[in-house]
Amino acid sequence: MDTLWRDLRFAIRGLVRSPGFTIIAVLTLALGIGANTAIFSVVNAVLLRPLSYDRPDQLISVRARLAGRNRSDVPMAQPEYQDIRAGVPGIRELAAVWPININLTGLGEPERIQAAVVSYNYFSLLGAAPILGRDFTKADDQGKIGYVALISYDLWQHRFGGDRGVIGKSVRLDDDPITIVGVMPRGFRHPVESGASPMELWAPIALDNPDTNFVNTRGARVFDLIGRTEPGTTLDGVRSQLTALTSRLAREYPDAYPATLGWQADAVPLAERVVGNVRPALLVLLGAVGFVLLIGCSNVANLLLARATTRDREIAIRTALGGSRMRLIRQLLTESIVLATAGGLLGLLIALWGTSALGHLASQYLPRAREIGIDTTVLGFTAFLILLTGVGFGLVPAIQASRPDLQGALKDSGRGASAGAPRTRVRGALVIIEVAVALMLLAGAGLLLRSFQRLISIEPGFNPENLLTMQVWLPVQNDPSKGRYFTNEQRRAFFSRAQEAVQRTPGVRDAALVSRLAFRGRGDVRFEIEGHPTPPAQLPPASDLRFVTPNYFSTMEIPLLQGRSLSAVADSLGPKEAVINHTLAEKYWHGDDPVGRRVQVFGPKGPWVTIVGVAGDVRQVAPDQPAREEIFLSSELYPNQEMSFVVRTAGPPDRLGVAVTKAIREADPEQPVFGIKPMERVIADASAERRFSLLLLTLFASIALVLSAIGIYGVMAYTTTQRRHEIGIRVALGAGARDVLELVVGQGMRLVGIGLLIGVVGAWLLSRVLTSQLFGITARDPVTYVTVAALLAVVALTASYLPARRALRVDPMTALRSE
Amino acid sequence: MALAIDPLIRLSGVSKIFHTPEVETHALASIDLEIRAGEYVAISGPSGCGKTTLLSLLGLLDSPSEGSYVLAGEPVATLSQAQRARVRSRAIGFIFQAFNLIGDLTVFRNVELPLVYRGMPAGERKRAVHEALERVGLLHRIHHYPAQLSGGQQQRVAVARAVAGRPLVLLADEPTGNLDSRNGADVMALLSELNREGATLCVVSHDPRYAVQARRTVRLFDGRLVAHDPFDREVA
Repeated sequence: MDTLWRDLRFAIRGLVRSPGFTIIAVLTLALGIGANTAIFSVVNAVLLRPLSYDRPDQLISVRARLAGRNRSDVPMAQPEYQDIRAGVPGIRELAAVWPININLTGLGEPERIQAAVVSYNYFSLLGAAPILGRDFTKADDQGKIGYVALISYDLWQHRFGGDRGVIGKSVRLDDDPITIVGVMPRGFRHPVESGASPMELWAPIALDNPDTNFVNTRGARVFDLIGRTEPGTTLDGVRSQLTALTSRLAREYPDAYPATLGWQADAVPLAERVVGNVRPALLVLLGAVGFVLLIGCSNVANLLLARATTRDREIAIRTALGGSRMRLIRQLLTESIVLATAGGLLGLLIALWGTSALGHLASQYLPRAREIGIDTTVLGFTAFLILLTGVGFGLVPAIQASRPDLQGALKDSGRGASAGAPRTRVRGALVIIEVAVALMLLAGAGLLLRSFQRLISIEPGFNPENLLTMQVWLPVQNDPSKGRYFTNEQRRAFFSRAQEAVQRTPGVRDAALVSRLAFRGRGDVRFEIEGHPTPPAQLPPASDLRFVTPNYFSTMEIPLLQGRSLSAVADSLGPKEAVINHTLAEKYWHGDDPVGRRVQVFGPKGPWVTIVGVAGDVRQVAPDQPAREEIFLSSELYPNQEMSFVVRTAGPPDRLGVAVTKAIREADPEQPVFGIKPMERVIADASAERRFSLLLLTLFASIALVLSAIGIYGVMAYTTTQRRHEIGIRVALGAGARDVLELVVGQGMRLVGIGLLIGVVGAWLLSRVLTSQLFGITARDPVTYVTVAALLAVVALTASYLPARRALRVDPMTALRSE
Repeated sequence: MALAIDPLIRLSGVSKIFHTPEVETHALASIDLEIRAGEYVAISGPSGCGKTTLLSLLGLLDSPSEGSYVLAGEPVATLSQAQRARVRSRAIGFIFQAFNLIGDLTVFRNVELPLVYRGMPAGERKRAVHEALERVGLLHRIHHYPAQLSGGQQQRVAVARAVAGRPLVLLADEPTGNLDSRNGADVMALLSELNREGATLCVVSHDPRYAVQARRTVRLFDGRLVAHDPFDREVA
């Protein structure tokens, strides 16, 4: 213990005596350890930490696959919920959740909130209980739909000011009165929610009351099912039981589950469903940031090796005085660990800032983003990194330094060989590793960057500049017939008044309505083409469907390729018209003019609508997805409950949000207007995951590039100093400036060349992990590889050139002076 | 090897002053020296008298503070660094006390080095290196590294490196300083032989045994020439 303490004091004194070395080493390590800790905190929160519910290992998510439609993760229907409760003994308890968003009124400013209609056992199944009021009871599921509610802590705070008298208060949800019966604790979250719009209210759906149940058909697949397994039952056991149930239901309800549908109930651990598909991206980032630390460690090892040469004499004296090799290694390793600890502590500060930034950055798309933070697991990881890096970068220099080869050293100086050749070789190897790893990171970042460039250069099919978007969802009461917007006339009148009010707003050039904005999912409709009936055994053709106002195409600046836009309609008797997109026209009319032809929508009894125009394609699903077939019907003829405004503005659209909201409220002061965003941000949000990975990988690659440049510079500066005598001899023998530059830069670039070669092979092998995040290029895109290799080579050339310039100043007299 | 320009080297009023912030050191003062082609000149004197400085000026490793230096009829005292490097690679062969071979290069590469800097084509270089190594009796060691040779062999390689390009003058700085007496005698015999074959030789040595082998001895004291040996002696 005494020896350790002495080593520690000696190490600290030594480091304090070399402030330049210590500062650079500590900063390098802090950067590496800090970045690793920050990314690990994300991985820990999202992938590793158990869900914050009671016995989370027992929780499962039950969903379905529709093999016939190539869809997975399909929600379940209410009768299926009842079937699973009754017929899958491995699931002890099952809760149903239908996430919705709904208008909250009666509290001043109307608001659209994220809510869920749940079975009464939802909270008890998760092991959660309200901090105020009561939980739902079985009676709530047998009573009326949504007459009581539990609210989130946040909603309680920001809408009720944390008033404990909130229990028993009534608010209105889609115009229906609802009584608040409880407040959930701070931090309680619905397992599967987006960080951007957390769940704020839960109401029971009265699933056990067949009279009030309005979603009791097997086709209404709206429920997420969360189950708790029986203790001792495995997930495989539950899956087998679900498979047996699937077969039984297919036999009992052949119409609901035709073989062509391929319906199959399945279960996954709830944690897996929560994580979704972000696991590969996070693991790639963890690997990438690990590479950054590897480069950082190589740099510090290089610094230690350089420092060791200045300590040869000290170490030789210690050896001469009887210090054993193990003793020397231990002392040198103590220094490394002290350095790593200092770097780790500073890194922790960087990580504290980094986790907060990452949480903010990732909140748009990363599940559990709110849980990102430093906890004991993360601290343990940081401690492990400190130990790992301390030993990792310290061991080789310690072994090298503890092996003073006096005879060799004498030979070196006596016979003109390069001094300290073994150390130089180790340092050279470290540079090769740094360059190789940096290239792998740069290649990854380069691939994502090029991919992203391609993505944002795609024309969406309309002009997103100066276009403001917002949504309005008219309330639907529990008894819809009593609603203010039950009839087409009521909805048509509201939207017409609202649209006119928006169009009158100063700064607005035009305003149109659409039932669903681009990049906000899709809605299929089956249709029949007049004169080409679908054979009986086949499904009719499908298309995306949107309800739009006649000025939608001009407002969005979507070109009309043939015909005209929809007619203005004042009532339900207006002409039944459709505009189709170019893809649909090409698929079914193969270049013929579809204008004037008719299609039947909404099933065999639906109306026949006449095609009056063909619009240009719009990438409606996602920026990286090709356009699908699409039919546009008049929203004036078929006024929807949910509509989005697209507002073409004269200037920056951000500024008009408040004015346009006010204009819409002129038509109904109780109507929330939400999702107010410029279209350019809607597009950006659609690539938030790519942006997140791109940003971090580019950041890591940039750090790697800088650290590599420092590493190469350090080695070349050191080698140049070591070779001063040799350079002096060469100059004495007639070497010119160019010869010396070639010698030094050539040596550096040979190492860099080997590193680049290994890096290209490594990046090539690792590129597969990025495939799912790429768009428009392959993971082995040669342009990216050549570009990043060239970039790294230029940086390395510069890093080698600076020490080479110093070598030019070597006085040839050194060849004589050594004598 | 020698040219018919006489004298081959002419120093007139050459001084060398080293400046530091505190002090000016007059390393050489008013040196007048002529060396004829084919001469064998020994430079001697006590430690610190300026022998090595004089050799560095003769070898264009440094330039004089004052005075003129004419080498083979060309004034070289005020050449730029690049010009001096070019002249060094063509006209001067160096033999150092510590051999100064480059440890990472083979014997062949070491001997070839000044020829590379001179820009000689590869074929000619190879021929010249082979001739030089044969001349010093080390052709069989052509692929060895310096560390694999004895001290005497290393100095012979250094001699081969110096003569391979057939320079106008060979400058040797204490060539036997790091050798035992037998190897020292061998190297000096080799240098004498080269001189007999026509090489112009200028050797710094404080060993009187080898100084007497020179036809002429130049003595330095406190940076000044104190005496010229008036007698040219034929080396046995």
